[in-house]
Amino acid sequence: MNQTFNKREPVYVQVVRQFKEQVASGELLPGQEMPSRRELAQKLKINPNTVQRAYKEMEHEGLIYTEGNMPSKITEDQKILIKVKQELVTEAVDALVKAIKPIKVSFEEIEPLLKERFMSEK
Amino acid sequence: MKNYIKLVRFEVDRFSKIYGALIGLTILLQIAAVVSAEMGYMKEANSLMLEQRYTSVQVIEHLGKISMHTVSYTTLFVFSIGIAVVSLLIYCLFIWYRDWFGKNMFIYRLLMLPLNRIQLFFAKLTTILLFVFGLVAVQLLLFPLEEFLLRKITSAPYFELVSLETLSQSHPFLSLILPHSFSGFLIAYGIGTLAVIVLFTVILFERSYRWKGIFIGAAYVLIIAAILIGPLYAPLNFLFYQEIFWLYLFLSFLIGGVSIWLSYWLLQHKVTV
Amino acid sequence: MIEVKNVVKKYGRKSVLKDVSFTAQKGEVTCLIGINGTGKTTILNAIMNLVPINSGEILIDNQKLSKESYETVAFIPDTIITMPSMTIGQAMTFMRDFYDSWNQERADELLGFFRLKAEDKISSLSKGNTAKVNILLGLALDVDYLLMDEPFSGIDVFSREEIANAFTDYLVEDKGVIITTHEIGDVEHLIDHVVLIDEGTIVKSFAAEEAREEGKSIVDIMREVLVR
Repeated sequence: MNQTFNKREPVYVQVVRQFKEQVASGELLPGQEMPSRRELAQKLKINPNTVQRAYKEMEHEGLIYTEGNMPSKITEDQKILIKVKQELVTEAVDALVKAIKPIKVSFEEIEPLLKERFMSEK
Repeated sequence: MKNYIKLVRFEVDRFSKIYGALIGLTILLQIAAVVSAEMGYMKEANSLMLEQRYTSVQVIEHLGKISMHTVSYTTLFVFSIGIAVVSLLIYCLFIWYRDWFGKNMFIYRLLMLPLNRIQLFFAKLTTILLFVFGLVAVQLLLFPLEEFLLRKITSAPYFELVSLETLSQSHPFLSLILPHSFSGFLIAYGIGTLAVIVLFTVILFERSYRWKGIFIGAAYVLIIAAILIGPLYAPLNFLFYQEIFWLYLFLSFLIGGVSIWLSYWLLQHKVTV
Repeated sequence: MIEVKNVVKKYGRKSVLKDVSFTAQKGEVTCLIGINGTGKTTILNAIMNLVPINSGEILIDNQKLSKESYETVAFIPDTIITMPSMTIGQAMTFMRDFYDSWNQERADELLGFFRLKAEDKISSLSKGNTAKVNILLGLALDVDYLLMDEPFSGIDVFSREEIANAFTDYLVEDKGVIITTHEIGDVEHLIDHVVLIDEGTIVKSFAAEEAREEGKSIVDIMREVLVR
C-alpha cells in the first residue's frame, strides 16, 4: 500500500481513497475482511485515531460494515461498489480535464494520445 | 523498605570495584609499613651494635622494642589510613555528583523511580556508612595479621606484643577510628554520620539552587557550627557533665532531623536535573 | 489527561516558560513544536517534577504528580539516562526491580526489534544504539502516558526509521503521548494535536487533521505563526 501521504490533505481522507482504489481495482473483494485498526495503523505508520476516523467515514459511506465484535468487512452491496468506482473515475477525469483545460486543446487532439497511453499502461 | 535495600545494593555495587581496589591498596600499604618498620629498626639496631658496640639489651634500652605501635607511626601506615579516609570523603561528594555529570545523566532515572526520593538520600548515606565500617572491619582483621607478620620477620628479643586495644587508647587517629569504649564508638561515628548528613544537605542545596545553593549551604553549616559551639561559651557551669552530654545529644538529633527534613523537601520540590 | 496550567519557570531573571497552558488527552499524540531553546524540554521536565516551577499547576488525571505517577507516566529524555558501566541486560533488570509497570515481554521484543544484545555494555554502544536503549527502557513500561523529548535528534536515518516504527507500534495501545520535536517530518502523520511554542509562550494549539482539512500542512501553519 502506498505509504507516502500528502501533507496538505487530511490523512484519513487519503486512507479512505486508498481503500476505494483497492476495492474498485478488485484488489479487495466484496465481503473480504478489513485489517484491524491496530494492524493498519502499524502498517501505514499513522496514528490509530486517524485509522479509526477513516473506518468511521467508510462505514458512514457504506463501503464497509461491522457485525458485532467481528472484524469489519467490505460491503457486498453492488450499488455502493459501482458508485465507488464511478466516483473515482469521475474524480480522476475531472482532475485530467482541469489540468488540460488551461493548455486549450480540443478533445479530438488528445483522444489518440489518451488511447495510446491507456493501452500501454496495461 | 524493599526499594531501600535494592537501592543500597545498587549503590554499593557501583562503587565496589574502586572500593575493592581501596581495600587492596590499604592491605598492601600496611604490609609494606610492617616490613619497612622492621627494616628501619634493624638497620638502626645493627648500626648501633657495629659502631657503638651495643649489646642487644642496650639496643632495646636505647631504641625500645619494635611493636605494632612502631608500625602505626610509619609514613606508609598513616598514608594508608589517610588515603582511605580521603577517598571516602571524596566519595561522599561523588556519590551524588556522579549521577549528574558526564554524558549519562543517571539522575533522571533515579528521580523518576516510583519511590519516595528521600530513600535515595538514605541509600547513599547507608552506602557511605557501610563503606566506612567495611574499612574499619578490614583494619580490625588486618591488625593481628600484621602483628603476626611482624613477629615472624623480627628476631624474637626485639619484638613486643601490643594489643590493638592498648594501641588505640593513646593513638592520635586510631583512637578515633577504633574507640576503645562503646560510648566512644557511638560518639565518634555519631558525629561522623551527622557530618555526612549535613554534607548531603549542603550538596542538595547546591543541586537545587546551584551557585546560590553553595551560599545557602555555607550559611547552613555556619548556623550549625554556632549551635554546636555556642553552649561552650554560655554560662553552663550549673550543668553537670552528664547534662552537657544530653544537651549535645539533643542538639545532634535536632540538627540531623532538620537536615533530613530539608533534604526531603529539596529532593521533593527543588532539585533540578 | 495531562493538564499544564499557567506554568511559569524562571532561571534567574530569565523566564523560560511564560504562562504555559495546554492539555494532552489520553489516546492522543500531542506534539510540542518549536525552534530550539523555546522551553519544550523544560515543560516535560516540569511535568515529571525534575525541575521546580515558579508558579502554575500540573495535573495528571486530576492528580498532582506523586511517586506513584512514575508507574503511569514514562519519560524518555533527550539525554542518555542509563549507567554506562551496566550492560543492556543489567539496565533492564534494574528497571524490572523497581517498576511494577515494567513489561519484560515487550522489553525482550524491543531488544530483538532494535537488534541489540543484552550482554553489550552500554558504554560500548554507538550513539544511535544508546538512544535505542534509552527508548527501549521507556517503551517497556506499561504506562498510560509517554513523554518523549526529541526522540529523533542526532540519530542516523536508519535508527530513526526503527525508532519511528517502534513508536507507532506502541501508540496503538491507546496511550497518551507528548512528544517534542523541532523537525516535524518524522512524526507528521502520527500527530493528533500540535502545540506551537515560541520563546516560552504557546502561540497556537490545533488539531493536525483540522489544519489539513483547510489544505494546510503543519509546517504551513508554523510558517504563518512563527515567521513574521
